[in-house]
Amino acid sequence: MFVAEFAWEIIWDHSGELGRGLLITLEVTAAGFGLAAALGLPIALMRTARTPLLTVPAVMWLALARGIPLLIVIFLLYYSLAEQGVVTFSAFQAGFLSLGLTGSAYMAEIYRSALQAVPQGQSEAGSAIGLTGAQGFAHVLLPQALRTAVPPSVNIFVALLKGATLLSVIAMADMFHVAQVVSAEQYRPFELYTAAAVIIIAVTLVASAVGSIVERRLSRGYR
Amino acid sequence: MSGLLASLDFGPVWDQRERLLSGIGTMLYVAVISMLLSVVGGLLLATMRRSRLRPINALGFLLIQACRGIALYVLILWLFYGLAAGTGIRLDPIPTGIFALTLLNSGYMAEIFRAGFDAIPEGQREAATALGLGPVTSMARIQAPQAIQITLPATGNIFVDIIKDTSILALVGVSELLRESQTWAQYYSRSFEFYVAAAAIYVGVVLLVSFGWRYLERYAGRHLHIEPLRGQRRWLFGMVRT
Repeated sequence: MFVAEFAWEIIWDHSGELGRGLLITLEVTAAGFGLAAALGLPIALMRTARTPLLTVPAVMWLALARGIPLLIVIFLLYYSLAEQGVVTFSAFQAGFLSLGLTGSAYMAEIYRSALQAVPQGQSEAGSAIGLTGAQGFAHVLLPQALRTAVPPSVNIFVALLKGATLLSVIAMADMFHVAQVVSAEQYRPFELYTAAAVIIIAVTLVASAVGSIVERRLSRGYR
Repeated sequence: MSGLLASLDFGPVWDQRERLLSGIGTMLYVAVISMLLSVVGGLLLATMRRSRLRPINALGFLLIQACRGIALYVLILWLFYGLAAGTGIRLDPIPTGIFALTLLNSGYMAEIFRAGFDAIPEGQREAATALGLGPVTSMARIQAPQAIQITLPATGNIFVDIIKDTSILALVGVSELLRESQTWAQYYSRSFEFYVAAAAIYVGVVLLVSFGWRYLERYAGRHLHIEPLRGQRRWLFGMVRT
């Protein structure tokens, strides 16, 4: 059985909804990425600390955040916490928290390797000119590490963007949820899922391209 | 908060242990097959990328970008519902999942293999030629064994991510671990317990596989003199690798 008649105009008819959905997808991704980037640095510092009081919780957090599939995090935050009467999150809140918490482990690893990539002499030079440890970290180490951390962070952003398609299961009005709803209403799954796939591939490729441009900019004048 | 802890009851989870175990079985079965197929797909795509013929090279590039750019959930629903409605090709949930996981991860594996072959010093190939080995023997006996050792750590990361990604198949009704947990969570109205249990099992499996893989790396790389390609974890759900 081959259904030869495709109705591609259906995508055009619903382009406004899909566009608004894509905006929500981007918003939740940006919020989740912001949370991941904010949590990642303290986790990375705890991980590299000298006392097990800090490293042990950090290692446990990394194992949990990297071992639990995103979908289970979403279910736990959205359904289970509400069911237990702990806290009831909206779909957007549950979405950005699950993206941010899961992403924090990956961001921590990026910060960690970026900090390690700064030559030893830099922090020595910092203390030689009389900076305290914290000053040296804030003014010498961190600015250089952040520069190294930008390109891989773009990959995290792209990954979270793809992960955000999973938020359609808790009925957040993101792009993929819109595609599913319209496809069910009009019974046009082929057209709408194809459109969703093309949109996601396009957005991720654009984000990756922006990332490599930024990478080239940042490495200008540096080796 | 104490009320919350007191109200938790993991009894139902223990009662359904056999169902959860069978869910783990399905998860591993899907993950292992997808991993093996992704290695084949990755080698194929990497070979295309190394081809000197422009069209084949360009096609390989496009395929790799598309594989890496798509989100797994979108791909699965496209295959499962979209393709069925559009062309009448109807796939069962498990083959759909294996196909989607393979497609996505072939793209990542291709990039890993490409970097792996590039990491072999040029002298190795030249030495093979100098010894009178043909291109096939050179590939099979000199280049491939080294490439496998170099790429093993990065491949392990992919395997771990495939295991985690099988959870998405629950959404099209494959009765793997998450689907079983979901079913029984609804049956007992105990979603917290079942999802926490599922999360713990995932973490356990991921840690076990990571440690096992580390041994495999050490064993396979015992003659290796090149720094293996650690790569980075393939971030989350069907993501881009650095």
